[in-house]
Amino acid sequence: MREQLQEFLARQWPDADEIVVEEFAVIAGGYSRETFRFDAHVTRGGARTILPMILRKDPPPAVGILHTSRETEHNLLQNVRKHTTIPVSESHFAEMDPGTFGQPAMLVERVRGSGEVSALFNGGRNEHLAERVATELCEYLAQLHMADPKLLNPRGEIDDPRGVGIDASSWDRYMDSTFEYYIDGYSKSDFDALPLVMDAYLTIRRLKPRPLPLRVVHGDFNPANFLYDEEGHVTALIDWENSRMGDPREDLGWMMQMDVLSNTNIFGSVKVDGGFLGHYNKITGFGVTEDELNYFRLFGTANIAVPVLSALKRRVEKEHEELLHLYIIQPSMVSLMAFAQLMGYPIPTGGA
Amino acid sequence: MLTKPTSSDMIEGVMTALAKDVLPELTSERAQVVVIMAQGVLQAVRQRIEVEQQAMAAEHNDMTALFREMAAALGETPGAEADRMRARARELGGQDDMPQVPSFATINGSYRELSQGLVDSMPDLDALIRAGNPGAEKALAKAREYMGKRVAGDFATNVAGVGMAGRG
Repeated sequence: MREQLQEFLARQWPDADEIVVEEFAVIAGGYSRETFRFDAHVTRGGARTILPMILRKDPPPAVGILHTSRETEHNLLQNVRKHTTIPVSESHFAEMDPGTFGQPAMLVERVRGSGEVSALFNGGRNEHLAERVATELCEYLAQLHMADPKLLNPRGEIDDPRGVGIDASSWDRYMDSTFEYYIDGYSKSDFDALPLVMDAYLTIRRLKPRPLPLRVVHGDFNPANFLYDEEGHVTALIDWENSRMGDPREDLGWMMQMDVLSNTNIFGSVKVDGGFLGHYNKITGFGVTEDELNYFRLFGTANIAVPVLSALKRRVEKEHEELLHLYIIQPSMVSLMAFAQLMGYPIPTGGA
Repeated sequence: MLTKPTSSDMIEGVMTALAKDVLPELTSERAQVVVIMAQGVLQAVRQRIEVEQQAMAAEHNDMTALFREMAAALGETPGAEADRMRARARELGGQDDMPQVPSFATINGSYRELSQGLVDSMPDLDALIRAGNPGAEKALAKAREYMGKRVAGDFATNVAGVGMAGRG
């Protein structure tokens, strides 16, 4: 892989006298992509620069969980950098030819900052930074949701990035086509008979809320997807692979859901304007309510459940032999419990 | 409970990962031998789990009968040894028969059929609720009462510990 990287970078930067890849290593974790870190030592006219980089590579299709395009993610990152002040990695290249790295891949800047979110909460050593980090996160999210979608998504690449028939031409059509995706997607994801999942999808359709303008949503805005520095500034929002046109409340609901499941406290750490939601509402004017937030916790859980459960079904039906997919039965069970709680199921005490 | 993947499928998945992802990376001969032994143990567990309860119930009944038959064969033989054999026939051979446990495939298949019936009921209840049928709301509440118990049980039996490997 190291040699392939050097050859690829040499083709992209023909003006460089020498390119050497150093410190190449696999980054463990991350369930949807294979990720590697390295430093590109680039010499031009006798001057050497060191570029810290990350290679994010798609897994083989049968193993993959989220089937979106690295080129689309690359284009979005470039547009976010160009049209907002949201901190994101510079995306250097998207290489869609699987012949180069084995699968489509992208090369992005490795941004400085810590991803150790647990240190911000529950008595962690960076707890004094939590308020600033959470407030900045809230403000960056609001900025994303206030950005003109025509600037961030000029060619409509993220109208339906999974290619599942989502119609983003209006909020109503978006919601209705997403409900269809969930309900029709059940048969692709029923690795076992899962009545609770079907109940959740139908409940989401029955309880359709009031409309808001469609905006670019991060799609996986959760406590694991940002970096921060020692002064409490957010240095990057990462993992934009699930970004799409959507309802802005999706990002809020998913963050709240993952905040609960991750035992973090992003939502509770914002103090200004009465808290995260109040601050967000003040900036955006969207007037999002607690009830809407709970609805979109359910909606966001479904949005992740469809591809995750589908990948699990492919493993159960032995389309591939990855252990990961059997392992993620456990977080899937946690998600099913969350579905049940959000729908108000009576849960016997001691069950969770 | 989950009918798929079965416990045996899960163990097979671990065995495959050991063979495919772990064994080729091991340089220590001792570690290689341990992995091969672990695969043998896991295979034995796979063979055992789907018949264990059925076999125990059936053999329980065979053994109670055996105690009675052994005592009958000794007849009125005098002596302490024969007395102990007759006492075992009364105490152990007198235990009630265990009910026959259906085969794993039978239980699994029947459970799955009922679960699928619940899945199929959801769109019907949804349509009735959207049509304003108050009985359908009650029926859904009943279903949720059962499914709440079920999800709690699934959580307790399928989730091991907290946190996920590889996540910060």
